[in-house]
Amino acid sequence: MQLSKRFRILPVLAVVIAVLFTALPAHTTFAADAPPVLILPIDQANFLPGQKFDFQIEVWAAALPSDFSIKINGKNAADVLGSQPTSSNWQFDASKTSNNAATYTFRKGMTGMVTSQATTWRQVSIKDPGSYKIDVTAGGATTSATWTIRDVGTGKAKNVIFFLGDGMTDAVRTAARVVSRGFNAGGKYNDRLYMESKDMTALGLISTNGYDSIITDSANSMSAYMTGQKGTVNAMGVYANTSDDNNDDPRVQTFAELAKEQGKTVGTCVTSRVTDATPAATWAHTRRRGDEDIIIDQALKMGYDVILGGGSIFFQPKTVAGSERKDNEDTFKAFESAGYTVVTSATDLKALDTGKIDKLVGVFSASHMNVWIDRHLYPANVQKNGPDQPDLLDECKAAINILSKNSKGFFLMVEGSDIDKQEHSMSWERAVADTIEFDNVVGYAQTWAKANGNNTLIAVAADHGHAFDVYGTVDIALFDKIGKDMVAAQAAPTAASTAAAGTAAATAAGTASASVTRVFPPFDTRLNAIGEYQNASFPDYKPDPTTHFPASWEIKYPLAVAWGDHPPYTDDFRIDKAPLDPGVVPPGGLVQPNTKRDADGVFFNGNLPGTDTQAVHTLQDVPVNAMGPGAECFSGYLDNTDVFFCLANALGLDPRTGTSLNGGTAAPTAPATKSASIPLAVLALVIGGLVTRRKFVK
Amino acid sequence: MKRVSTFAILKSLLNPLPKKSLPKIALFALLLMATACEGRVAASGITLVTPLPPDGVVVTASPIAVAELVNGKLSGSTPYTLQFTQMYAGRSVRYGLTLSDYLKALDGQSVTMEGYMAPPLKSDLKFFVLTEVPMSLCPFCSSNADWPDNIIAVYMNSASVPPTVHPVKITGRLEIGSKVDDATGFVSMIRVYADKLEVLG
Repeated sequence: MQLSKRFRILPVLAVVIAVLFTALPAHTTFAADAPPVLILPIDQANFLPGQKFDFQIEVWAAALPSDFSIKINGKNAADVLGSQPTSSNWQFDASKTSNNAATYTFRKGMTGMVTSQATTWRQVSIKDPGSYKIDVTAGGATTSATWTIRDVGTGKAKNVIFFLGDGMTDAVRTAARVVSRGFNAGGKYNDRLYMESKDMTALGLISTNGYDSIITDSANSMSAYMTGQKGTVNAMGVYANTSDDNNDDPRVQTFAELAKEQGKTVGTCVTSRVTDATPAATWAHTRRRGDEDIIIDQALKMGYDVILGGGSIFFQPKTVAGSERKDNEDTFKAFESAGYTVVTSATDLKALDTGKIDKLVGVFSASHMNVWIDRHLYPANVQKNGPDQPDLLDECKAAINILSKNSKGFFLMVEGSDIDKQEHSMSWERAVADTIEFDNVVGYAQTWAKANGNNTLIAVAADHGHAFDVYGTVDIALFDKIGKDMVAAQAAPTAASTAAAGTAAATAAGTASASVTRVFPPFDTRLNAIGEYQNASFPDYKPDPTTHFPASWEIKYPLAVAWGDHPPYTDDFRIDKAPLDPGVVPPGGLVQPNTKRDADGVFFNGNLPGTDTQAVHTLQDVPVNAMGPGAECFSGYLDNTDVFFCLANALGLDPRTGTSLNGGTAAPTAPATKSASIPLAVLALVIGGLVTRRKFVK
Repeated sequence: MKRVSTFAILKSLLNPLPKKSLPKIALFALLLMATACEGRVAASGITLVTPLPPDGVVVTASPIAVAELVNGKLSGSTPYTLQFTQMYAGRSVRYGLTLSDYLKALDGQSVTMEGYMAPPLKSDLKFFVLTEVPMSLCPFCSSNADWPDNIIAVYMNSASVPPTVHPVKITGRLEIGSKVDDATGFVSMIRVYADKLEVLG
């Protein structure tokens, strides 16, 4: 039967419509003049039911279009969330990528100032697990995002101790094992690191990038572990919006905040400044990790129980020389007024009666604490920073003693902070020594957990990669001898050495192509002292059987270490007596080796941009080990956001049953949301553990 | 090729360290700039501070400083000699650097100081940083940024001066207090407005 002429158009129409649908991007349909829309939290975000977050829609237009609407699973968002949003607007410079990177790709190609209309809900949450589709209509187009509210876990852990070895790749662990455990006659390791012991039943690999790039920094990587959200470089506990204000970005509750709502105590012991990215990410909400004075203020406001590390420059009023605060607050005094004990030396820390203390701030240096090697082997290097700095184990013992008094359990974050910092500075001995120190604390925690109820989840991870690796050993005596011969040959050239130099030059010229003359720097013959393959005999660092630190780092055949990414630098393959940057940038110039460090060492040209004086983070996945209730979650391949849910599930943490903190997590402009007041919560807890239940309007 | 500003270079220098406010970056920048300047006189080395007493205890001023303050009053006549070692009474983790009584008494007075000019060495200088040791041994070349307790900002009142690598002696009015330099963003706690500069040695 032949179709009438009218109906012949239908197959053509069907083909046209099909082509149009497949050609369009998956989530967005654009009309001709629809303004760009930004939805934060982003597409693919996962949350725990009841986990609080800020929800912000940006519409880049001079005014909101008349058809503007926000729907969640087809219903008006205000009805779903049970509250009305606030409106605001700002201008941002579309060509400036520093604040927001290339994150929001539809911003590419835009120039000039852009007005953003923001619609914001503060501290909302969704209580039912499931999939939630956000549809924002503006100017005839709809932009969508999908969120998943996960189920609550069923774990029975009471405590969580999360160990973060900053930049602690498997290569670093392996080198630490070589130095601290050594080999037996059969070529097998005498022992493994504590983090590698058979107690640790789970082993996994974590991918570390944020949603703005393949390479992360410590801020957004730790933030992923602590909030379950992907982030952008330098941001923590927030999704970065386009405004220049670093404090107005939409926030997401951290694991420590949720733990406190469950009545747990929370603490951190680190060797960096206590306001540095990794510890800060356990509590803070900021677009900018550098706002460390604001960060410590947030810890005080939240009532974070134990904070131990360095960085007094962010506690001192700005009138103090060297202070990095922008106000006249004495933050030490502020903590004391809030009932905290404050100590600033190892002596005072060890003298504490931890049985009588519930809240502690210990700051032991002006900036980042010094590393184990400088504190123990070259103490003159540490005096100006902090003349009496404790070991990481001293800090964490005190923290565990204080936090574990709480019958509801605790969350402790332990960081080997300076492993990463010394990888940046390319001092491998300092990085590895701090790894050994960090690992010793893992050993202490394992013993403690087994002796205290066996209900503690212990997980040991890194936050991102570095390019450190070992490729052999160095015959130091031979290295020096070749060096002496080189110097002697230059001073008094023999006929042979002149001929050799001539040959080298001729060879260089001879390898040049007809059109291009390219001359390479001469080979440094001291590299012939590197032992590779069968010539890389087992280095004997003579580790102490109890402390695991080597008797000396200056041995006959130390490890030959290379850095995959590095500035121009010189290396004499020996430990440096003071921590110095590998590169320096002269005024108006580009980077060159720091001649204060290994001045006569072998020269390696750089492979980084000319403004970098240190090595940078790398892509590789990082290992994680775990033991205790909920450990199995860490087996296999994890996205870094999965770590948050592993920690929460191990505790069986249900945010819906928590008692909300006293406004401690609110952004400055947050309208007050209904919550049980703290005195009521305390009363409720006192009367036989009754928990105040929050009303969630569906 | 895109021209990269010195500030931009030096800001990036602090990557991946946490970002600091621009004035502080300028401070570190000026001193870091010095490190790669060739031809500096290599002095014997940085004098490392001897171990300090337990934290919170402020070290009393050195004997030389005490001699300059008699019964709390300045003795002798202007200009008063000020050495870098006399500036700070002590250092503690909690309280940072504390100004010595001698230094505090010199606020607003005419002083004379010896030291070295820190680069950048432009052809004429109206402002420079005076340092205790030549800047080839810059204290900032450690990876931990310590507050510089041996520098002072010098503003030339009269004609600008040609830069030199030799030790210099400046004379002028001392001023204590935090100030941000408009032109460079440099933050100084202690300044000398100098009307005289002698090149020594």
